Amino acid sequence: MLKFFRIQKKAVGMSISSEIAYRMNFYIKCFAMVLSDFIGPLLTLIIYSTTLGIPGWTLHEFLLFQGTLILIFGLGHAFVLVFPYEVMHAIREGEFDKYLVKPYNTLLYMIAESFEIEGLAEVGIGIVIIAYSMAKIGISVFSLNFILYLVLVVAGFVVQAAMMTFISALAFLFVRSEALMNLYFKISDFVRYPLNVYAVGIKLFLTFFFPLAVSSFYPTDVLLRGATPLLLVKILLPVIIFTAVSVFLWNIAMKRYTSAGG
Amino acid sequence: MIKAFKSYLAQARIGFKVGIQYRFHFIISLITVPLSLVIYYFLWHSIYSYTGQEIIRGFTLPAMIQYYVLSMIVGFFVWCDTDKWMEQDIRRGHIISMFTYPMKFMWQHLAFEIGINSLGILLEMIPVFAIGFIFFGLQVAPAFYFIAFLVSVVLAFFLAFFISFNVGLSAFWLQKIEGIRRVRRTLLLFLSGGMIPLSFFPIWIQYVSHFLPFEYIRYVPIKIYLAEYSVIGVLFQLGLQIVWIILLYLLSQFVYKRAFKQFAGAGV
Repeated sequence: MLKFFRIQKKAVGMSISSEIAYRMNFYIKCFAMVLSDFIGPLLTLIIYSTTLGIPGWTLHEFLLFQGTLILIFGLGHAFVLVFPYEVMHAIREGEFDKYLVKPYNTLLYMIAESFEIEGLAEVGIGIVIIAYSMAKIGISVFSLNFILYLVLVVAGFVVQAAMMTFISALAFLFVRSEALMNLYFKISDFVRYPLNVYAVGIKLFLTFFFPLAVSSFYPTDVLLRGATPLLLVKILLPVIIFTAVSVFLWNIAMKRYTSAGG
Repeated sequence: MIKAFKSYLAQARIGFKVGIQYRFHFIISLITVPLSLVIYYFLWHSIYSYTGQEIIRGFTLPAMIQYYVLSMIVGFFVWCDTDKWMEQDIRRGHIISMFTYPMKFMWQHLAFEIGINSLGILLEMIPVFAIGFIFFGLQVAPAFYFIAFLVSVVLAFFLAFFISFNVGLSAFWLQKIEGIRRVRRTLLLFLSGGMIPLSFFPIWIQYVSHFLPFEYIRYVPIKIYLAEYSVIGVLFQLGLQIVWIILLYLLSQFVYKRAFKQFAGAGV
Protein backbone atom coordinates (compact mmCIF):
# COMPACT_ATOMS: atom_id res chain seq x y z
CA MET A 1 0.00 0.00 0.00
CA LEU A 2 2.77 2.36 1.04
CA LYS A 3 4.49 2.11 -2.32
CA PHE A 4 1.40 3.48 -4.07
CA PHE A 5 1.64 6.58 -1.94
CA ARG A 6 5.25 6.87 -2.99
CA ILE A 7 4.21 6.69 -6.66
CA GLN A 8 1.52 9.26 -5.96
CA LYS A 9 4.09 11.57 -4.37
CA LYS A 10 6.34 11.32 -7.42
CA ALA A 11 3.40 12.02 -9.73
CA VAL A 12 2.50 15.11 -7.71
CA GLY A 13 6.05 16.38 -7.91
CA MET A 14 6.25 15.79 -11.67
CA SER A 15 2.93 17.46 -12.27
CA ILE A 16 3.95 20.54 -10.32
CA SER A 17 7.26 20.93 -12.10
CA SER A 18 5.67 20.61 -15.53
CA GLU A 19 3.12 23.26 -14.60
CA ILE A 20 5.78 25.64 -13.31
CA ALA A 21 7.49 25.51 -16.72
CA TYR A 22 4.85 27.96 -17.94
CA ARG A 23 4.42 29.96 -14.77
CA MET A 24 2.14 32.68 -16.06
CA ASN A 25 -0.19 30.12 -17.61
CA PHE A 26 -0.26 28.23 -14.32
CA TYR A 27 -1.38 31.27 -12.31
CA ILE A 28 -4.06 32.15 -14.83
CA LYS A 29 -5.20 28.54 -14.90
CA CYS A 30 -5.66 28.51 -11.14
CA PHE A 31 -7.56 31.78 -11.39
CA ALA A 32 -9.74 30.25 -14.11
CA MET A 33 -10.47 27.28 -11.87
CA VAL A 34 -11.51 29.53 -8.99
CA LEU A 35 -13.62 31.62 -11.35
CA SER A 36 -15.48 28.68 -12.85
CA ASP A 37 -16.06 27.14 -9.43
CA PHE A 38 -17.60 30.33 -8.14
CA ILE A 39 -20.00 30.47 -11.08
CA GLY A 40 -22.15 27.77 -9.44
CA PRO A 41 -22.58 29.60 -6.12
CA LEU A 42 -23.05 32.86 -8.03
CA LEU A 43 -25.85 31.26 -10.03
CA THR A 44 -27.34 30.11 -6.72
CA LEU A 45 -27.35 33.65 -5.37
CA ILE A 46 -29.01 34.87 -8.57
CA ILE A 47 -31.66 32.16 -8.46
CA TYR A 48 -32.40 32.71 -4.77
CA SER A 49 -32.60 36.48 -5.16
CA THR A 50 -35.20 36.24 -7.94
CA THR A 51 -37.21 33.16 -6.91
CA LEU A 52 -38.00 31.14 -3.79
CA GLY A 53 -35.37 28.71 -4.99
CA ILE A 54 -35.29 24.96 -4.95
CA PRO A 55 -38.07 23.29 -2.96
CA GLY A 56 -36.92 22.20 0.50
CA TRP A 57 -33.55 23.95 0.36
CA THR A 58 -32.78 27.34 1.89
CA LEU A 59 -30.02 29.46 0.36
CA HIS A 60 -27.36 28.32 2.82
CA GLU A 61 -28.41 24.69 2.66
CA PHE A 62 -28.06 24.82 -1.10
CA LEU A 63 -24.67 26.52 -0.80
CA LEU A 64 -23.61 23.69 1.51
CA PHE A 65 -24.78 21.29 -1.19
CA GLN A 66 -22.66 23.08 -3.78
CA GLY A 67 -19.62 23.24 -1.54
CA THR A 68 -19.87 19.48 -1.08
CA LEU A 69 -20.23 18.99 -4.83
CA ILE A 70 -17.15 21.12 -5.54
CA LEU A 71 -15.15 19.34 -2.81
CA ILE A 72 -15.88 15.80 -4.00
CA PHE A 73 -15.55 16.52 -7.72
CA GLY A 74 -12.38 18.46 -6.86
CA LEU A 75 -10.95 15.37 -5.18
CA GLY A 76 -11.93 13.39 -8.25
CA HIS A 77 -10.33 15.99 -10.53
CA ALA A 78 -7.12 16.04 -8.50
CA PHE A 79 -6.57 12.31 -8.04
CA VAL A 80 -8.43 10.23 -10.63
CA LEU A 81 -9.68 12.28 -13.57
CA VAL A 82 -6.47 12.05 -15.61
CA PHE A 83 -6.51 8.25 -15.45
CA PRO A 84 -9.04 7.43 -18.24
CA TYR A 85 -7.45 10.04 -20.55
CA GLU A 86 -4.08 8.42 -19.91
CA VAL A 87 -5.54 4.99 -20.70
CA MET A 88 -7.08 6.20 -23.97
CA HIS A 89 -3.91 8.00 -24.93
CA ALA A 90 -1.80 4.93 -24.16
CA ILE A 91 -4.06 2.61 -26.17
CA ARG A 92 -4.01 4.92 -29.16
CA GLU A 93 -0.26 5.43 -29.14
CA GLY A 94 0.42 1.74 -28.46
CA GLU A 95 2.12 2.61 -25.18
CA PHE A 96 -0.10 0.64 -22.87
CA ASP A 97 2.35 -2.26 -22.59
CA LYS A 98 4.67 -0.14 -20.49
CA TYR A 99 2.07 -0.17 -17.73
CA LEU A 100 1.68 -3.93 -17.93
CA VAL A 101 5.37 -4.66 -17.39
CA LYS A 102 5.55 -2.56 -14.22
CA PRO A 103 5.86 -4.71 -11.09
CA TYR A 104 2.67 -3.23 -9.65
CA ASN A 105 -1.04 -3.78 -10.02
CA THR A 106 -1.84 -1.90 -13.25
CA LEU A 107 -5.08 -0.34 -12.03
CA LEU A 108 -3.66 0.91 -8.75
CA TYR A 109 -0.51 2.14 -10.45
CA MET A 110 -2.43 4.17 -13.02
CA ILE A 111 -4.67 5.68 -10.38
CA ALA A 112 -1.66 6.54 -8.22
CA GLU A 113 0.00 8.22 -11.19
CA SER A 114 -3.05 10.28 -12.02
CA PHE A 115 -2.81 13.78 -10.60
CA GLU A 116 -3.85 17.26 -11.65
CA ILE A 117 -3.01 20.16 -9.43
CA GLU A 118 -5.99 22.39 -10.26
CA GLY A 119 -8.18 19.85 -8.53
CA LEU A 120 -6.62 20.88 -5.23
CA ALA A 121 -7.72 24.47 -5.84
CA GLU A 122 -11.26 23.16 -6.17
CA VAL A 123 -10.92 21.18 -2.94
CA GLY A 124 -9.89 24.40 -1.18
CA ILE A 125 -12.82 26.36 -2.58
CA GLY A 126 -15.22 23.58 -1.65
CA ILE A 127 -13.99 23.57 1.94
CA VAL A 128 -14.33 27.36 2.20
CA ILE A 129 -17.93 27.24 0.95
CA ILE A 130 -18.79 24.31 3.24
CA ALA A 131 -17.30 26.06 6.30
CA TYR A 132 -19.13 29.29 5.49
CA SER A 133 -22.52 27.67 5.05
CA MET A 134 -22.12 25.35 8.05
CA ALA A 135 -21.39 28.37 10.21
CA LYS A 136 -24.43 30.17 8.78
CA ILE A 137 -26.76 27.23 9.39
CA GLY A 138 -25.15 26.48 12.74
CA ILE A 139 -24.03 22.86 12.35
CA SER A 140 -21.44 21.66 14.84
CA VAL A 141 -18.33 19.80 13.70
CA PHE A 142 -18.65 17.61 16.79
CA SER A 143 -21.80 15.73 15.87
CA LEU A 144 -22.69 12.29 14.63
CA ASN A 145 -24.08 13.81 11.45
CA PHE A 146 -20.74 15.40 10.64
CA ILE A 147 -18.90 12.10 11.11
CA LEU A 148 -21.40 10.41 8.80
CA TYR A 149 -20.89 13.30 6.39
CA LEU A 150 -17.15 12.66 6.28
CA VAL A 151 -17.75 8.96 5.67
CA LEU A 152 -20.09 9.77 2.80
CA VAL A 153 -17.64 12.28 1.31
CA VAL A 154 -15.09 9.47 1.18
CA ALA A 155 -17.74 7.21 -0.38
CA GLY A 156 -18.41 9.97 -2.93
CA PHE A 157 -14.73 10.03 -3.83
CA VAL A 158 -14.71 6.23 -4.16
CA VAL A 159 -17.58 6.56 -6.63
CA GLN A 160 -15.50 9.04 -8.64
CA ALA A 161 -12.62 6.57 -8.81
CA ALA A 162 -14.99 3.73 -9.70
CA MET A 163 -16.55 5.82 -12.50
CA MET A 164 -13.12 6.46 -14.01
CA THR A 165 -12.29 2.74 -13.81
CA PHE A 166 -15.64 1.91 -15.40
CA ILE A 167 -15.06 4.36 -18.27
CA SER A 168 -11.51 3.15 -18.85
CA ALA A 169 -12.72 -0.46 -18.99
CA LEU A 170 -15.40 0.54 -21.52
CA ALA A 171 -12.75 2.33 -23.54
CA PHE A 172 -10.89 -0.98 -23.80
CA LEU A 173 -13.90 -3.12 -24.56
CA PHE A 174 -15.94 -0.97 -26.92
CA VAL A 175 -15.14 2.55 -27.97
CA ARG A 176 -11.79 4.22 -27.84
CA SER A 177 -13.06 7.73 -27.72
CA GLU A 178 -12.97 10.68 -25.43
CA ALA A 179 -16.63 11.17 -26.29
CA LEU A 180 -17.29 8.66 -23.49
CA MET A 181 -15.92 11.22 -21.06
CA ASN A 182 -18.20 13.89 -22.48
CA LEU A 183 -21.16 11.60 -21.95
CA TYR A 184 -20.04 11.01 -18.37
CA PHE A 185 -19.69 14.75 -17.72
CA LYS A 186 -23.22 15.28 -18.98
CA ILE A 187 -24.62 12.57 -16.74
CA SER A 188 -22.72 13.99 -13.80
CA ASP A 189 -24.39 17.35 -14.52
CA PHE A 190 -27.56 15.79 -13.11
CA VAL A 191 -26.12 15.74 -9.59
CA ARG A 192 -25.39 19.46 -9.71
CA TYR A 193 -28.91 19.91 -8.33
CA PRO A 194 -30.55 18.10 -5.40
CA LEU A 195 -32.20 14.80 -6.27
CA ASN A 196 -35.60 15.95 -5.08
CA VAL A 197 -36.14 18.15 -8.15
CA TYR A 198 -36.13 15.08 -10.42
CA ALA A 199 -38.71 12.45 -11.30
CA VAL A 200 -38.57 9.05 -9.56
CA GLY A 201 -36.83 7.25 -12.45
CA ILE A 202 -33.86 9.63 -12.44
CA LYS A 203 -33.60 9.43 -8.63
CA LEU A 204 -33.47 5.63 -8.74
CA PHE A 205 -30.93 5.68 -11.54
CA LEU A 206 -28.57 8.05 -9.72
CA THR A 207 -28.93 6.20 -6.40
CA PHE A 208 -28.80 2.54 -7.37
CA PHE A 209 -27.46 2.02 -10.88
CA PHE A 210 -25.06 4.88 -11.35
CA PRO A 211 -24.60 6.05 -7.75
CA LEU A 212 -23.30 9.53 -8.55
CA ALA A 213 -25.74 11.12 -6.13
CA VAL A 214 -23.34 10.07 -3.36
CA SER A 215 -20.95 12.66 -4.77
CA SER A 216 -23.16 15.58 -3.81
CA PHE A 217 -26.70 14.99 -2.63
CA TYR A 218 -26.50 12.25 0.01
CA PRO A 219 -23.63 13.62 2.14
CA THR A 220 -25.35 17.01 2.35
CA ASP A 221 -28.74 15.51 3.01
CA VAL A 222 -27.39 13.37 5.85
CA LEU A 223 -25.49 16.30 7.36
CA LEU A 224 -28.62 18.46 7.36
CA ARG A 225 -31.29 15.93 8.23
CA GLY A 226 -29.53 12.94 9.78
CA ALA A 227 -29.71 9.32 8.70
CA THR A 228 -31.25 6.03 9.71
CA PRO A 229 -29.13 2.87 9.41
CA LEU A 230 -31.43 1.77 6.61
CA LEU A 231 -30.73 4.94 4.64
CA LEU A 232 -26.98 4.43 5.05
CA VAL A 233 -27.27 0.89 3.70
CA LYS A 234 -29.34 2.22 0.82
CA ILE A 235 -26.61 4.76 0.04
CA LEU A 236 -23.48 2.69 0.60
CA LEU A 237 -24.46 -0.70 -0.81
CA PRO A 238 -24.81 0.58 -4.41
CA VAL A 239 -21.40 2.25 -4.05
CA ILE A 240 -19.78 -1.02 -3.07
CA ILE A 241 -21.54 -2.95 -5.82
CA PHE A 242 -20.71 -0.37 -8.47
CA THR A 243 -17.06 -0.31 -7.44
CA ALA A 244 -16.90 -4.11 -7.56
CA VAL A 245 -18.49 -4.19 -11.01
CA SER A 246 -16.04 -1.57 -12.30
CA VAL A 247 -13.01 -3.47 -11.06
CA PHE A 248 -14.48 -6.68 -12.49
CA LEU A 249 -14.95 -5.02 -15.90
CA TRP A 250 -11.42 -3.64 -15.77
CA ASN A 251 -10.07 -7.13 -15.13
CA ILE A 252 -12.01 -8.51 -18.10
CA ALA A 253 -10.60 -5.71 -20.23
CA MET A 254 -7.07 -6.57 -19.08
CA LYS A 255 -7.57 -10.22 -20.01
CA ARG A 256 -8.89 -9.34 -23.44
CA TYR A 257 -6.24 -6.76 -24.18
CA THR A 258 -3.96 -7.66 -27.05
CA SER A 259 -1.04 -5.40 -27.59
CA ALA A 260 -0.77 -3.39 -30.78
CA GLY A 261 2.94 -4.06 -30.52
CA GLY A 262 3.92 -0.50 -29.68
CA MET B 1 -9.44 37.53 -56.45
CA ILE B 2 -10.91 34.20 -57.50
CA LYS B 3 -7.60 32.56 -56.77
CA ALA B 4 -7.59 33.95 -53.25
CA PHE B 5 -11.15 32.79 -52.76
CA LYS B 6 -10.24 29.30 -53.91
CA SER B 7 -7.45 29.03 -51.39
CA TYR B 8 -9.78 30.07 -48.57
CA LEU B 9 -12.30 27.53 -49.78
CA ALA B 10 -9.60 24.88 -49.56
CA GLN B 11 -8.92 25.98 -45.99
CA ALA B 12 -12.64 25.67 -45.18
CA ARG B 13 -12.68 22.22 -46.70
CA ILE B 14 -9.81 21.17 -44.42
CA GLY B 15 -11.82 22.47 -41.49
CA PHE B 16 -14.81 20.45 -42.65
CA LYS B 17 -12.67 17.32 -42.79
CA VAL B 18 -11.30 17.93 -39.31
CA GLY B 19 -14.94 18.21 -38.29
CA ILE B 20 -15.64 14.78 -39.77
CA GLN B 21 -12.93 13.40 -37.51
CA TYR B 22 -15.09 14.54 -34.63
CA ARG B 23 -18.26 12.95 -35.94
CA PHE B 24 -18.49 10.55 -33.00
CA HIS B 25 -18.35 13.61 -30.77
CA PHE B 26 -21.28 15.08 -32.70
CA ILE B 27 -23.34 11.92 -32.40
CA ILE B 28 -22.70 11.75 -28.66
CA SER B 29 -23.77 15.37 -28.36
CA LEU B 30 -27.10 14.45 -29.91
CA ILE B 31 -27.60 12.34 -26.78
CA THR B 32 -26.12 14.82 -24.36
CA VAL B 33 -28.01 17.91 -25.54
CA PRO B 34 -31.44 16.45 -24.65
CA LEU B 35 -29.94 15.36 -21.31
CA SER B 36 -29.04 18.95 -20.42
CA LEU B 37 -32.50 20.05 -21.46
CA VAL B 38 -34.01 17.43 -19.15
CA ILE B 39 -31.94 18.81 -16.25
CA TYR B 40 -33.06 22.39 -16.94
CA TYR B 41 -36.64 21.25 -17.35
CA PHE B 42 -36.78 19.59 -13.93
CA LEU B 43 -34.85 22.36 -12.21
CA TRP B 44 -37.04 25.19 -13.48
CA HIS B 45 -40.22 23.18 -13.20
CA SER B 46 -39.60 22.75 -9.47
CA ILE B 47 -38.52 26.37 -9.00
CA TYR B 48 -41.57 27.75 -10.80
CA SER B 49 -44.05 25.56 -8.94
CA TYR B 50 -42.37 26.30 -5.59
CA THR B 51 -42.26 30.05 -6.20
CA GLY B 52 -45.86 30.07 -7.40
CA GLN B 53 -45.43 32.93 -9.87
CA GLU B 54 -46.53 32.66 -13.48
CA ILE B 55 -43.84 34.97 -14.81
CA ILE B 56 -40.39 35.39 -13.29
CA ARG B 57 -38.23 38.17 -14.72
CA GLY B 58 -40.15 38.19 -17.98
CA PHE B 59 -40.10 34.42 -18.49
CA THR B 60 -42.93 31.93 -18.14
CA LEU B 61 -41.89 28.30 -17.62
CA PRO B 62 -42.50 27.31 -21.29
CA ALA B 63 -40.55 30.37 -22.45
CA MET B 64 -37.73 29.40 -20.10
CA ILE B 65 -37.51 25.90 -21.59
CA GLN B 66 -37.55 27.39 -25.10
CA TYR B 67 -34.76 29.70 -23.99
CA TYR B 68 -32.52 26.74 -23.17
CA VAL B 69 -33.34 24.89 -26.41
CA LEU B 70 -32.40 28.01 -28.40
CA SER B 71 -29.32 28.49 -26.26
CA MET B 72 -28.09 25.05 -27.33
CA ILE B 73 -28.77 25.86 -30.99
CA VAL B 74 -26.91 29.15 -30.81
CA GLY B 75 -24.15 27.27 -29.03
CA PHE B 76 -23.43 25.20 -32.16
CA PHE B 77 -22.84 28.40 -34.12
CA VAL B 78 -20.63 30.12 -31.61
CA TRP B 79 -18.50 27.14 -30.63
CA CYS B 80 -15.04 28.33 -31.61
CA ASP B 81 -11.65 26.87 -30.76
CA THR B 82 -9.45 29.17 -32.83
CA ASP B 83 -7.39 30.06 -29.77
CA LYS B 84 -6.67 26.39 -29.18
CA TRP B 85 -5.43 25.85 -32.75
CA MET B 86 -3.31 29.00 -32.55
CA GLU B 87 -1.75 27.92 -29.25
CA GLN B 88 -0.86 24.52 -30.73
CA ASP B 89 0.57 26.03 -33.90
CA ILE B 90 2.70 28.55 -32.04
CA ARG B 91 4.06 26.05 -29.53
CA ARG B 92 4.86 23.42 -32.14
CA GLY B 93 6.17 25.91 -34.65
CA HIS B 94 3.67 25.10 -37.42
CA ILE B 95 2.88 28.77 -37.41
CA ILE B 96 5.94 29.45 -39.58
CA SER B 97 4.56 27.48 -42.49
CA MET B 98 1.21 29.18 -42.03
CA PHE B 99 2.89 32.54 -42.63
CA THR B 100 4.05 31.30 -46.00
CA TYR B 101 0.58 30.34 -47.25
CA PRO B 102 -0.85 32.65 -49.90
CA MET B 103 -3.52 33.77 -47.47
CA LYS B 104 -3.92 36.34 -44.74
CA PHE B 105 -3.32 34.75 -41.35
CA MET B 106 -6.62 35.74 -39.80
CA TRP B 107 -8.82 34.93 -42.80
CA GLN B 108 -7.19 31.57 -43.02
CA HIS B 109 -8.30 30.79 -39.47
CA LEU B 110 -11.74 32.18 -40.15
CA ALA B 111 -12.20 29.98 -43.22
CA PHE B 112 -11.05 26.94 -41.25
CA GLU B 113 -13.47 27.68 -38.43
CA ILE B 114 -16.36 28.14 -40.87
CA GLY B 115 -15.52 24.73 -42.31
CA ILE B 116 -15.54 23.04 -38.89
CA ASN B 117 -18.71 24.70 -37.69
CA SER B 118 -20.73 24.10 -40.83
CA LEU B 119 -20.53 20.36 -40.23
CA GLY B 120 -21.69 20.78 -36.64
CA ILE B 121 -24.55 22.98 -37.76
CA LEU B 122 -25.60 20.48 -40.45
CA LEU B 123 -25.44 17.49 -38.12
CA GLU B 124 -26.76 19.02 -34.92
CA MET B 125 -28.88 22.08 -35.49
CA ILE B 126 -31.68 20.39 -37.41
CA PRO B 127 -32.06 17.44 -35.00
CA VAL B 128 -32.04 19.79 -32.01
CA PHE B 129 -34.68 21.99 -33.62
CA ALA B 130 -36.73 18.82 -34.15
CA ILE B 131 -36.20 17.66 -30.55
CA GLY B 132 -37.18 21.14 -29.36
CA PHE B 133 -40.36 21.22 -31.44
CA ILE B 134 -41.45 17.72 -30.47
CA PHE B 135 -40.45 17.37 -26.81
CA PHE B 136 -39.76 20.79 -25.36
CA GLY B 137 -42.56 22.95 -26.74
CA LEU B 138 -40.39 25.13 -28.97
CA GLN B 139 -42.68 27.49 -30.93
CA VAL B 140 -42.23 28.34 -34.59
CA ALA B 141 -41.07 31.95 -34.79
CA PRO B 142 -42.75 34.41 -37.20
CA ALA B 143 -40.92 34.48 -40.56
CA PHE B 144 -39.29 37.87 -40.06
CA TYR B 145 -37.96 36.95 -36.62
CA PHE B 146 -36.80 33.55 -37.81
CA ILE B 147 -34.77 35.08 -40.63
CA ALA B 148 -33.46 37.78 -38.31
CA PHE B 149 -32.47 35.02 -35.88
CA LEU B 150 -30.46 33.26 -38.58
CA VAL B 151 -28.71 36.51 -39.53
CA SER B 152 -28.06 37.22 -35.89
CA VAL B 153 -26.47 33.82 -35.12
CA VAL B 154 -24.18 34.17 -38.12
CA LEU B 155 -23.09 37.57 -36.78
CA ALA B 156 -22.74 35.95 -33.35
CA PHE B 157 -20.39 33.41 -34.90
CA PHE B 158 -18.17 36.20 -36.21
CA LEU B 159 -18.20 37.86 -32.79
CA ALA B 160 -17.24 34.62 -31.08
CA PHE B 161 -14.52 34.08 -33.66
CA PHE B 162 -12.93 37.49 -33.15
CA ILE B 163 -12.96 37.14 -29.37
CA SER B 164 -11.35 33.74 -29.69
CA PHE B 165 -8.82 35.06 -32.23
CA ASN B 166 -7.82 37.92 -29.94
CA VAL B 167 -7.34 35.47 -27.08
CA GLY B 168 -5.32 33.24 -29.38
CA LEU B 169 -2.98 36.14 -30.26
CA SER B 170 -1.87 36.28 -26.62
CA ALA B 171 -0.11 32.96 -27.26
CA PHE B 172 2.54 34.94 -29.20
CA TRP B 173 3.68 36.28 -25.83
CA LEU B 174 2.71 33.53 -23.39
CA GLN B 175 3.10 30.33 -25.49
CA LYS B 176 0.78 28.34 -23.24
CA ILE B 177 -2.63 29.95 -22.85
CA GLU B 178 -4.79 27.16 -21.48
CA GLY B 179 -5.66 29.36 -18.49
CA ILE B 180 -6.77 32.37 -20.50
CA ARG B 181 -8.73 30.13 -22.81
CA ARG B 182 -10.59 28.73 -19.84
CA VAL B 183 -11.36 32.21 -18.50
CA ARG B 184 -12.62 33.13 -21.96
CA ARG B 185 -14.92 30.11 -22.13
CA THR B 186 -16.33 30.60 -18.63
CA LEU B 187 -16.94 34.34 -18.98
CA LEU B 188 -18.44 33.90 -22.42
CA LEU B 189 -20.86 31.22 -21.29
CA PHE B 190 -21.93 33.05 -18.16
CA LEU B 191 -22.14 36.63 -19.46
CA SER B 192 -23.77 35.65 -22.75
CA GLY B 193 -26.67 34.14 -20.83
CA GLY B 194 -25.74 30.52 -21.46
CA MET B 195 -26.55 29.41 -17.92
CA ILE B 196 -29.42 31.69 -16.98
CA PRO B 197 -31.18 34.48 -18.92
CA LEU B 198 -29.51 37.83 -18.31
CA SER B 199 -32.80 39.31 -17.06
CA PHE B 200 -32.25 37.36 -13.82
CA PHE B 201 -29.05 39.32 -13.12
CA PRO B 202 -29.08 42.40 -10.89
CA ILE B 203 -30.08 45.51 -12.84
CA TRP B 204 -26.63 47.13 -12.79
CA ILE B 205 -24.97 44.03 -14.27
CA GLN B 206 -27.60 43.97 -17.01
CA TYR B 207 -26.81 47.61 -17.70
CA VAL B 208 -23.05 47.05 -17.82
CA SER B 209 -23.56 44.02 -20.03
CA HIS B 210 -25.10 46.18 -22.78
CA PHE B 211 -21.63 47.67 -23.17
CA LEU B 212 -19.84 44.34 -23.37
CA PRO B 213 -19.76 42.10 -26.46
CA PHE B 214 -20.91 38.93 -24.68
CA GLU B 215 -24.68 39.28 -24.65
CA TYR B 216 -24.69 39.80 -28.43
CA ILE B 217 -23.33 36.29 -28.81
CA ARG B 218 -26.23 34.38 -27.27
CA TYR B 219 -28.81 36.39 -25.39
CA VAL B 220 -29.69 38.79 -28.20
CA PRO B 221 -30.17 36.12 -30.91
CA ILE B 222 -32.42 34.12 -28.56
CA LYS B 223 -34.50 37.17 -27.72
CA ILE B 224 -34.87 37.87 -31.42
CA TYR B 225 -36.22 34.35 -31.98
CA LEU B 226 -38.64 34.80 -29.07
CA ALA B 227 -39.84 38.00 -30.82
CA GLU B 228 -39.15 40.22 -27.84
CA TYR B 229 -37.98 43.19 -29.90
CA SER B 230 -39.93 45.40 -32.30
CA VAL B 231 -38.85 45.34 -35.95
CA ILE B 232 -36.79 48.51 -35.40
CA GLY B 233 -35.38 46.97 -32.23
CA VAL B 234 -34.22 43.88 -34.13
CA LEU B 235 -32.43 46.01 -36.72
CA PHE B 236 -30.85 48.05 -33.94
CA GLN B 237 -29.53 44.91 -32.21
CA LEU B 238 -28.16 43.52 -35.48
CA GLY B 239 -26.44 46.90 -35.98
CA LEU B 240 -24.86 46.66 -32.54
CA GLN B 241 -23.58 43.18 -33.36
CA ILE B 242 -21.92 44.56 -36.49
CA VAL B 243 -20.39 47.44 -34.52
CA TRP B 244 -18.85 44.95 -32.09
CA ILE B 245 -17.52 42.82 -34.92
CA ILE B 246 -15.80 45.86 -36.42
CA LEU B 247 -14.33 46.93 -33.06
CA LEU B 248 -12.97 43.47 -32.31
CA TYR B 249 -11.63 43.17 -35.85
CA LEU B 250 -9.72 46.45 -35.48
CA LEU B 251 -8.38 45.32 -32.11
CA SER B 252 -7.16 42.05 -33.58
CA GLN B 253 -5.36 43.87 -36.42
CA PHE B 254 -3.66 46.17 -33.95
CA VAL B 255 -2.54 43.28 -31.69
CA TYR B 256 -1.56 41.06 -34.60
CA LYS B 257 0.91 43.61 -35.98
CA ARG B 258 2.67 43.78 -32.63
CA ALA B 259 2.56 40.02 -32.19
CA PHE B 260 4.10 39.39 -35.59
CA LYS B 261 6.86 41.93 -34.96
CA GLN B 262 8.07 40.41 -31.72
CA PHE B 263 7.60 36.80 -32.81
CA ALA B 264 10.72 34.70 -33.18
CA GLY B 265 10.33 31.18 -34.51
CA ALA B 266 12.85 29.42 -32.33
CA GLY B 267 14.16 26.14 -33.62
CA VAL B 268 11.46 25.25 -36.08
